[in-house]
Amino acid sequence: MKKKKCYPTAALLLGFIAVMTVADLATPVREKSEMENRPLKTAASFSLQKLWSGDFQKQYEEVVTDQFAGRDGWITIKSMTESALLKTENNGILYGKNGALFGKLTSYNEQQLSRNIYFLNEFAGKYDGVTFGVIPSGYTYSPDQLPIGAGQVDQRAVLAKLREELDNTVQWMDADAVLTGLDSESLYYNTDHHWRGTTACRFYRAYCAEKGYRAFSEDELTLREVPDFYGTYYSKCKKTDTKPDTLTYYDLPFTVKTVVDGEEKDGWYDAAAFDTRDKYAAFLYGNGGLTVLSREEISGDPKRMLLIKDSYSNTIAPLFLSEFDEVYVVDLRSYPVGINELCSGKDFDDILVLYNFENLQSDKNFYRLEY
Amino acid sequence: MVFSSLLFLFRFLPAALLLYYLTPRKLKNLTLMIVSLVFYAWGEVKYLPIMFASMIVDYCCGQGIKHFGAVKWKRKLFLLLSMFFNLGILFTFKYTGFFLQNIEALTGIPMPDFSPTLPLGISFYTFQTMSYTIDVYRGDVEPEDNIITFGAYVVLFPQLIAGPIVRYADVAAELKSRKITLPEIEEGAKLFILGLGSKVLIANNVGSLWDATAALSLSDISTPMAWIAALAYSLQIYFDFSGYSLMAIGLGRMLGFHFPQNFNYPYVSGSITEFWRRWHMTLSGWFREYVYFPLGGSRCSAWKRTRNLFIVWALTGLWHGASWNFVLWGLWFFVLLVIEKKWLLGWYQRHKVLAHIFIPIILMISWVIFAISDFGRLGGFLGRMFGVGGLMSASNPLDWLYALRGYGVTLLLGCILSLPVIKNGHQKLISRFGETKTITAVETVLLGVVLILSVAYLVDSTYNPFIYWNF
Repeated sequence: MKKKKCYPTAALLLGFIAVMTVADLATPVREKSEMENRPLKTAASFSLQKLWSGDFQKQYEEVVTDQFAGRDGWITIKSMTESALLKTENNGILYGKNGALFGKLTSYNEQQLSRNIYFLNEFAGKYDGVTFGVIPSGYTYSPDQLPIGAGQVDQRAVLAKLREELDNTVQWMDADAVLTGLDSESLYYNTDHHWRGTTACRFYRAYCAEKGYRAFSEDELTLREVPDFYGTYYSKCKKTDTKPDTLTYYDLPFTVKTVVDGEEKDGWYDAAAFDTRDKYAAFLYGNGGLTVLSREEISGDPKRMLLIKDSYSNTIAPLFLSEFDEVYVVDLRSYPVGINELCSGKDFDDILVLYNFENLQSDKNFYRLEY
Repeated sequence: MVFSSLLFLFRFLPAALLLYYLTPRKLKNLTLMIVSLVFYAWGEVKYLPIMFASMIVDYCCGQGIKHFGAVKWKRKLFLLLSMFFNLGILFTFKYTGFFLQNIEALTGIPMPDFSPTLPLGISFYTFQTMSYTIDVYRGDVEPEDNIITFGAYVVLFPQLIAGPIVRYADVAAELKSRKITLPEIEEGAKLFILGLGSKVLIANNVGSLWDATAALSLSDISTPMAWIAALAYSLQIYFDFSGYSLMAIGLGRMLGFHFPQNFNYPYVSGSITEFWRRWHMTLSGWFREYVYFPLGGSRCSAWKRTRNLFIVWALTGLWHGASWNFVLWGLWFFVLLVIEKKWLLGWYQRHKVLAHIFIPIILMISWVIFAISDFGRLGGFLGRMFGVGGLMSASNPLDWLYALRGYGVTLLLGCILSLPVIKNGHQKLISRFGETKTITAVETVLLGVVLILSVAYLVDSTYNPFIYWNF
């Protein structure tokens, strides 16, 4: 073998490992990632038992990955490479036309879905006046924006089957019918899975009309806009040329008394969150277990609504105060026990269970309707 | 711990290399053993005793053969003890659950469910340590007197978890004395980066296409899509496995060891016989050496030769996992090889172009058998590949177009890199111009890009499977 004078690859690999290791150890711990819009794992808890079970090691690996030096930069490099490879998706997010992003959903959890419907039926058997609505995901309304052949689940077809599984005690609120026929590209955010505040409000009006409730008129509500909203879809795929959305919601003509998990708040949304990355978390202060919204003054026997929901309802929950004196908002994900106690104690005039399809087929907390 | 992780690259490896390089020569094996034990124990501390038992039992059997070897039955006793132990732990962890399930299926008597997590790399290191005792028994290698040296061989982290299967005889000399030189480290670094890129950039990328397709119901998969998915899996398993071997060989070089080559561009093969000379070469070598030859190999009657092949291939299949589809996969190769030996080899040689079309198709089918453990699903998927139930999927007729658009470039890159095109071009350049500075510079830049991209994909990895838990 011919003698070489320099060893560039050895220097490259060993040098790179050495520099990155030192840099990584020297980088201060970050609590959360603005770019990914999620808390980062900061430390692994150690105990002999956790070492034995491998739990400590698993946590430690997560810490190393989450706290890796220059994490955001590395993520950007990956995202750019994916685009260079002409990929139309990254981390489960599809790149649609006109800057729209969509969650990839080529199959759904049939078992979980039927299980959830079972619990819902049981629940509706116990309490009167349960209405159920399912909000299809954004791609349902703009199939033309999807990459060709993406093979997304036909949510309408699944919902049609699902309706047949519902007991007679469950009234069906057809959210799909409300949205069908509207301007498809403006119904949902481009960078986030949620429907826009304006779309949610349309559902609210349709629901009130269906039930014969009083709804706020256009004049009574104020449309507010928060620019530079990068939603969850963007946080997952980090597509480099993504343009931000404008977050929209309707504000009420009066102050809403808001109690989240027993703690009284100043108004129904957290305006400070609009300045952070996770803007949508402003509404109802994220997803608390039990949020009680009410008018400041209630005269006589209050009219009450129970709204069991995922985050899609967070912008419209207070709007129901047009008809009701109190709206009890339950997020089963953070409300382990107590729904029965709540229902038997409060005597609700209306119970609305409103979920997005994707959350409905994956949610593992519906069993909590039993407790 | 696996190589393709930030933890390995930026915690374990720098610490291990630093310790190893700083340790005086006499103690290097001890250091190597200790860091390897940490590597092994990281994922599963509870299996550490198995590793120690493995070291001690095989060490003692080697010593036993040495000291009492003059008497034939005693020699044999120690060999059997070692085989009993190694195959025993392998059977206990890997095959007991499968065995019980089958008894239950056959007799209808309910059996307990036994499915422990497999100790990392158990299929590899039991085979490696068996090679030691068998070779000592045969008198092919000297038994090792130093238990640290032997222990370092058993738990040696580069080849511990996913091959290559390094026979003791391959590294016996280097365990005693080895040179760690810069040219070797240079070569090792190159192989390591190439291996890392194979695994992280190609295997993981195309693998997610296979996994996404595997999650669909059969009616949602069109025939072209089924073939694209089969191609994706064929590339995934090759780049994953060979990438792992390359990383192992590269790390070995950096530590002063020369491990045997494990893959030699298998997809360039013009026959299945040739494929198995190029695919997982150390495993085929192991079975040839310790099963096929002792059974009489091919130097016996035609009937026995076929029987021997049958045994070897059934075992090869079963080695890959405790499930009937792996046995089917092994026997499928047995049938192909028998047919090939009898009739087809000559034909392949005369029709090279056709052979290079048929062989990849046969291999893709083989990998589908390998990948799908449920027979109903397997039959259905193979059916979709051959258009049973219509060529297109009713719900999504353009699924193949989406897959090609999203993965076409990656698949194409994978196909090119799985053939020795770049290697040959590189060699031609070098033989024509010599190792000029420009060539070295371009090489280094490319390797640097691969390294950086690999780290980027590891940082933002949603899909980084370790596909040998079954092995």
